[in-house]
Amino acid sequence: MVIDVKNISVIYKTGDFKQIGLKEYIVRKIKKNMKTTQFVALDNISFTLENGDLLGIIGTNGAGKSTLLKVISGIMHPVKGQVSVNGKIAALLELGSGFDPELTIKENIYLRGAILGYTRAFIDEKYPEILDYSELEDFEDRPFKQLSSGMKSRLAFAISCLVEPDILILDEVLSVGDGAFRVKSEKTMQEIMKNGCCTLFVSHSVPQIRRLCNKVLWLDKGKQIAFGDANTICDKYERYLETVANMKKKK
Amino acid sequence: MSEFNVDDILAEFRDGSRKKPAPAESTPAPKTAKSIGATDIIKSIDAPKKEVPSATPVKETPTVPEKKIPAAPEKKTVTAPAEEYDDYKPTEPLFSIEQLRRIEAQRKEGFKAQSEAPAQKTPEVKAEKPAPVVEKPAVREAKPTVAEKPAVRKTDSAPARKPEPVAKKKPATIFGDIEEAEKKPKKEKAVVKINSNPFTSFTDTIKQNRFLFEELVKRDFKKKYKRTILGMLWSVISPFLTFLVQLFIFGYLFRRGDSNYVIYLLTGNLMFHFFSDTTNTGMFSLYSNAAVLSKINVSKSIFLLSSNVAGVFNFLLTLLVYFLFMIFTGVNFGPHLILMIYPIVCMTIFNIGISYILSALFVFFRDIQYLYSIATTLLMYLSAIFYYADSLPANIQFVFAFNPIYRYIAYMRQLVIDSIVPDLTSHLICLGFAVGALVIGYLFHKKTEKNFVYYY
Repeated sequence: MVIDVKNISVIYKTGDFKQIGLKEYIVRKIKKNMKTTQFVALDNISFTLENGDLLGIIGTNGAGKSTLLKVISGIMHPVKGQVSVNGKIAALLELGSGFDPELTIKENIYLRGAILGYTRAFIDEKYPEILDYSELEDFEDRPFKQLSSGMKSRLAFAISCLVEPDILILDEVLSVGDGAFRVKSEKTMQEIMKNGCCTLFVSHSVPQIRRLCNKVLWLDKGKQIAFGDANTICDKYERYLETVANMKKKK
Repeated sequence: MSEFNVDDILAEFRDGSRKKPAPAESTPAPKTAKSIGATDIIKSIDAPKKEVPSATPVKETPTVPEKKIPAAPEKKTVTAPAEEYDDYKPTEPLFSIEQLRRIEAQRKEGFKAQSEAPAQKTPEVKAEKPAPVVEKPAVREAKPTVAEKPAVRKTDSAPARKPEPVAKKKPATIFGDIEEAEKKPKKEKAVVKINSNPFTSFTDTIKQNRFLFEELVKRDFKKKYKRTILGMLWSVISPFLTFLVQLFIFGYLFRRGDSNYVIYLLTGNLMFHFFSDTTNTGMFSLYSNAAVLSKINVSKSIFLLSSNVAGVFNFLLTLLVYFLFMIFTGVNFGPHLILMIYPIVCMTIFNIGISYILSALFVFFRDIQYLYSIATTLLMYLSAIFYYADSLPANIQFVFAFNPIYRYIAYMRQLVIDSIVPDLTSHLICLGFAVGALVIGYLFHKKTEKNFVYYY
């Protein structure tokens, strides 16, 4: 088993605790007025993935998809349950994170590569390739904040797609950029997915999930609705969306 | 027209446990609290479907899989309804929280009540979900009470005619005695095992961490001094400006100092500035990198260490000017000066420990920065920087013993000004403060690390 997730729950403590400062905290402790509300982001999720699985995670907004990816990549700890992951993880939860707007593109490439876990020799070797893939050869010494958003996502993607992981985690990263870029990025991602052993993939586009994935996990408001074969669950999901749309229309 | 509830619609799409509402007349969805209003759900979904003709194709397509599902409750065998999916695994909990509470309450009253009240429910429960109870003892680890309930019910429905023996002797279940589970309410701890990088060698890990470390230090330096005129000189100039002001006021106006006052004052200022500057930058290090830390799984210690190293570089720059002062004021240069490294290293470790604590606190409480600036000011007054420690009465001298910054400054002064190698006690005290701060800081950091992500 490459990824084994059993009954995990993630609960946020919202309410006053986060916003108050030290003085307020002490005052409330004295008054015994510590009120915190709970927000259950994930409720009792369980699934297992083997070698070669491509899991698509679908659900409406606020379902807890990103939270689940954060738990699997180790950023968040669940409150309950067990997670066991075997393999090198590359989590691309947000393409633009790790870049610093003040530094130049060259410096940013090295910084982002370092954060992703590459070695310096590796980046030295792949540096021309990165510039070529993102089509930014002329902008090497410009500060990062001067690029357009399309250039930024192209650069971010170019660096990220050099990963050679066992487990790839993607959080809606294939939905940025213009049409040509999307085709290019999807093709690259498919190659990476073939080489790795397991991929977790969040998307709102059901045809894309049907095309790429063999298993699907359907979440809604933190609860697990279904986990299993891609086509059947995609059918159910589409039917569900139709039902909701019809209800709303009728209202 | 009834208000529709999205959760109710979802109820129809959950795996295996829900019935499709169209053919179901009276099969309830027994699992959750919605079971109370099961018929309401069915009515609310059924009624609008009849009104809107566009919904009829939606209504007709479920007939094919629906034929399979009503067959499941008729089977009494213990198998999962696996007709639809090959690798299907039922995952949702067996009972809702309301039901669990009811069960608890009933159990406390006694088994008599239990045998009467849910007698009607047992056939449904048994018929529809016998499988997960038996097939997945793993569920028990997360919720021990859940797994035992249906087992209890199975034994209870048999002696429903004789409630008395059940009340006296608690029946043994498949999963162990109920008494044991009652005595030890387990607090569930989440277990996270991420075995990343199983095959990379140790040297690769070191190389990769070193690269990240260097890049972060470079980034911090570039960012700090971009668009400033003097650039890096600022970190060197600022303690000297303080030194000059103090020299003027205490050395000249008050005439407090003796012949070595210049170097005495400068030592104190540089060491103290090293401490306060490094710990202040360390305090902000985690929170200012929140964007990276909340999206990428990077070790937090690297950010802390990189900011500390930047502080050490600044201090070493100030030391260059310090050497010039040493030459001008005629300090004895000799091999004993090599020991200057010792308080610098100790102080670095001390700073790292304090940074661990401060950075964790800063993530939780932003006020800490103001409290800490007051604390450093007080500490400065208590560290005998611009006055002599023996000019204070003897009963206050213990304050200096407990002030780690004073110990480091005193060590340095003894070494440089008096040209004496300090005794073993001083060495041990300096090391003790450093290691103590590091251990406490690291433990505190480890303990609160898991909660950072909620406060970024």
